[in-house]
Amino acid sequence: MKTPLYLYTTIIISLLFIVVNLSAQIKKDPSENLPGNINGWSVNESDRYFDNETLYDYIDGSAEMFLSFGFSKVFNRIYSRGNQPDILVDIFYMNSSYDAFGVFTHSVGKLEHEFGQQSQQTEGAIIFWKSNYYVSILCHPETTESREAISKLAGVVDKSINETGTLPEVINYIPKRNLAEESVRYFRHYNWINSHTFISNDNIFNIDQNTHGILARYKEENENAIFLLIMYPDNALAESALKNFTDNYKPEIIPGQTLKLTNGLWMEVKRIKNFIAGIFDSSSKDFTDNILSSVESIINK
Amino acid sequence: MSPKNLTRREFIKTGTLAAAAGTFLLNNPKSLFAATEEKSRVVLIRNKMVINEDGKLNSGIIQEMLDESVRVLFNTKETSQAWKKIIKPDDIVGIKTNVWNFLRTPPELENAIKKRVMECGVAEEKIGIKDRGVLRDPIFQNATALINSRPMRTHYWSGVGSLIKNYIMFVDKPSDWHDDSCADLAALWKLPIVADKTRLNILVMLTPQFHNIGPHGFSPEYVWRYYGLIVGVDPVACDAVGLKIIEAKRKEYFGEDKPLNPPAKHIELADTRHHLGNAGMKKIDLIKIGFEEGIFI
Repeated sequence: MKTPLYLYTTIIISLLFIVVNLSAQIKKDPSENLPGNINGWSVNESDRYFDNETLYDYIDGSAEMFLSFGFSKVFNRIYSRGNQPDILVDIFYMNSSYDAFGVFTHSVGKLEHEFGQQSQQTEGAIIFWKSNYYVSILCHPETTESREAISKLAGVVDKSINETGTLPEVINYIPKRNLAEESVRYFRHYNWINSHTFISNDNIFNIDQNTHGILARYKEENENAIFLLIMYPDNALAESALKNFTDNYKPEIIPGQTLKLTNGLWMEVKRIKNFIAGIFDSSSKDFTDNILSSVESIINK
Repeated sequence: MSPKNLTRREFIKTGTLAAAAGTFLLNNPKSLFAATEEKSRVVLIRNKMVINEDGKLNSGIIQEMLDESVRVLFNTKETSQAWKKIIKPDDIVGIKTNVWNFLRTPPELENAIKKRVMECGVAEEKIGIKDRGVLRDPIFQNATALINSRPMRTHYWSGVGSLIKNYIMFVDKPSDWHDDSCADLAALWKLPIVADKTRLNILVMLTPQFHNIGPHGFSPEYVWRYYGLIVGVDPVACDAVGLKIIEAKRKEYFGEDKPLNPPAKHIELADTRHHLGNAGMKKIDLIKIGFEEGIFI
């Protein structure tokens, strides 16, 4: 029996569709989708890439922050236009979405969702993260024209990243009630333990790349507190970290017991399974208890 | 203008000490670069006219601010007398600046320093102004005197970019000094290329930066016009004063205590661990001159 022509045609079209679709999925590098020109700005320098070794040459002061999370490379493109300021596009290829999220959280002031999964726009700058990409588009000083151009570029990069990234698991365990969402900080290096209040200069919680930490502020009318949650690979490591903390923080601290400090504020630190949960600078014992009982019930669920 | 927060007796006492220190400095600079029982004199000078409405710096006012601050610091009537306490005609002078493109040491200040150094009799070819590349610069390699000047700004890893940190360009691999949030930056000051050579520190607080954002760490939203210079012999004391101002600004802007993260512990450790100078405010004689509104300290 002869195969009908329409069947061949259907197979060929289907195969073509699959090939095109696959290539679109493979070609997910957002830097490749950047235009050569935008609103009168054009590229007149070669694109640059930086890695772990060369990042210091490029960004003065924040290389360690990216290294403390983990990234493979940074793409940099500069757009120029006559008397207008240059536009700098930086795309950081972080090792995971956790890392992109983590880096983003450490300088966010007001949380927005205009670009990527979370974004922030300030004078002359748009910063966002999506999937494992952390993106910064900068133009200083800002002009009316550059504001429009950086917004367009942010849109292009955002659209060129098809997938979204997952958040670190530890996020699932933080209570949502009274949480100041923009205050969430994620970290895997002890350097960031003082993000909201001074806790220690030393690594007293045994934080490393296998631990996942969150710091956040909680607020309710006149109540305030800073919440710390660290997720360890297992209960024994959490217990060991708790011991290190109690040995090196304040002699009067007893895990699981609320402590009123000389400044009138309250604190408590305890282990819950493979987590250490802590409250610092809390305005009251009740507020401390409420947050800790909420996190305990989430973890024990 | 005159010093505002010292009694006459205190002023004479610390002024005499500073004057004596100035004379002593040329012969024995090492003595001033150790945390001592004596207080460190620091001059905070502010002048609102130093920045024009369009944001440009007024070089004449910068010169005036620098001149007045060194006169007060070294307790002299004439500016030239003050400079001659710290610079000799046969000195080779390196002016260590900071060229971070968003907030650099202003060229107007660099020129003001250079002008006074030349008036001490130092030939122009024996004066270098540089940040990156100082290790390979013959003037800095052979310098007999250093003047250190940079703006203060918040920093993702060391808490703040400080006068102490400004000497990180005197090593081949700055990242080797980043351990523990740059805790031991003060040890840089003991390297042979800089040890005992620094005659003056000028922390630029004209438009300091109090918060970081993004990979480059800069947004115009987080700098403000403070119109100040902090001038002293002790870099730790100057940095400690600058840090207090940055912390106070953060509290005002964010409406709550928002500690620097990471904390700028290298400043305190410069005192307690490395004995480079005094970080505690009780051991700093702060002399405030000029514009008082929003002074934060």
